[in-house]
Amino acid sequence: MNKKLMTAVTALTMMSALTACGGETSKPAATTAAQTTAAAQTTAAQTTAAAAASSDAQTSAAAAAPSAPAAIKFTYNANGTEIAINAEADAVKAALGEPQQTFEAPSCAFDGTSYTYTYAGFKVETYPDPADKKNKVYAVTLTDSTVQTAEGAKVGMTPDEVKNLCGEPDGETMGYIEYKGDGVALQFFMDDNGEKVNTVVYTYAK
Amino acid sequence: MTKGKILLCGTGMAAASVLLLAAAQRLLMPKYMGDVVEGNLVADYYDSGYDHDVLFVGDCECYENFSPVTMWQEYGISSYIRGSAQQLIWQSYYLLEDALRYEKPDVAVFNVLSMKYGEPQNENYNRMSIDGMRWSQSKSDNIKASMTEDESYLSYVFPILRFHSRWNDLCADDFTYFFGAEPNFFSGYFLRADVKPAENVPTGRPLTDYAFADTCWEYLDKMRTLCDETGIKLVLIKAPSVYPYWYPQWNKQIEEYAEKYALPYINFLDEDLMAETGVDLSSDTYDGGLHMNVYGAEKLSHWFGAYLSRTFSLGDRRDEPQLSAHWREITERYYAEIARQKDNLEKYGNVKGEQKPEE
Repeated sequence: MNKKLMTAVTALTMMSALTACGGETSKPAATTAAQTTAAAQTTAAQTTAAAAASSDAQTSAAAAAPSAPAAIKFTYNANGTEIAINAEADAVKAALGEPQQTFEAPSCAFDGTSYTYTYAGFKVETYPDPADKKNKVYAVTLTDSTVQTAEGAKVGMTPDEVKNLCGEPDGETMGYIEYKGDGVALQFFMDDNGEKVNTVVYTYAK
Repeated sequence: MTKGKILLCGTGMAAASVLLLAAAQRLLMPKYMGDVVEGNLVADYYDSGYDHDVLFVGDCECYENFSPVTMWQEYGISSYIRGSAQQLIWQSYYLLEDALRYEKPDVAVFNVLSMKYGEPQNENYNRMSIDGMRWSQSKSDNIKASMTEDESYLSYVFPILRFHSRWNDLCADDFTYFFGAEPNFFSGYFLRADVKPAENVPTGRPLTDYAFADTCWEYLDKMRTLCDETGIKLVLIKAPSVYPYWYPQWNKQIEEYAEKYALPYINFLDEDLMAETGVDLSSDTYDGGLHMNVYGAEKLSHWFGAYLSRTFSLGDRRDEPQLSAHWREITERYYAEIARQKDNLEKYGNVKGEQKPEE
């Protein structure tokens, strides 16, 4: 066994994986448990995750979506591709095609990489999941009015228009309206005057 | 057998067991000499000579963005970076507290990115930040503050409890570096000589809450108080790393804190300051803007060394024979490493000298 391979084995055993230093505001829920799991448990988790991923290979990326209240669909549909938080990013990217732009953020001190894929009207952010070494979707951001949520809400709408389409929010301030599901949130951020939506975000949420 | 002999025999066996366990623990602990050398950053400090005018504490935005060699060569400032990967603010605090057991610098520099993390994040980063510390109250407190839910205090006291499963994965490095790692750093600086321009850097998506966690403010207060009580000047900085995104709302909170307590705060992301330092993100970063390469780190250190000298009247110490000898060794290794990486880049296209398989 050459030195490089032995080093890799050591690192894999020792480390369940490290995300980019500060790639996100805090770790995704799926990461929390896995990152603190002992090496042996990690191996088991990897096996399970790999098997699950394999059996789910034919299903859409939305299969990994957390459960959500009936009124709001916490997945974003991009021209027929359902994108869910924690879905496998490679499957999503394969379905969406090559992004207009890609930004990659390698982790500090390990081989995980976070990506931001930019498509027309929206961006997909990913993180390396230590449980199965796969990149997962962390957030989807709708950046202009050419795209919309399943409820029909989009950039440029007023807060009232959003609430008419999506119902009463779980959280609201001058700056945003938020709907929460199980481990996921749909957020509408307002412009500086609080009058119009300027960004829509699907993201992991505690 | 007499009682004395039984006692002697028992003591000998107990001592042998302890030695054996200690050796096994040392063998099983990761040596961080492969791709993850950053795991040795914290322990590296204890070989640093403890004679520093300036001590940096912080995450990768410290240990990859500033070159202490440049500050020594240009201004005669002796500095050290006590950093580790994703070093959380309480870890920076306890590493500073730990360092003050050995020396008292004139200035402490804290990079503020870690204010965004209000809770323990990741065992592996914890290990890299804590396991290398020598035993002290600071280390004990650091462990308690840093542990994630599934970690145990005891596994930091006896790391063999955590790493016993590495037995089947021991490799040559574990034996080669049993007695200690090779020096990989330059007064705490992690050097990279390659170039990858910053392109398509995304702005941050909006957040519902920009307020830093109470815990972070508490530790910033503790750091400020510790510096006050020990006569150390505290300087807050935000390195010019363009990702992770540094929100204006975060910056404002730091500005207000700095103003309230009359602390200098230097945001190297400021466009005018970026121009003044000469940092060019098309050539001075090795990973697309997350960290500077050595060329960017030298530019920053050129500016920051002048600032520190001027603001805190730090004397030029290049005429001190013992200190000069210490820095000569570091400087020689530093330029040898730059030459090695440049050579590898030329031959193999990467700084590590890894031969890529033929296509």
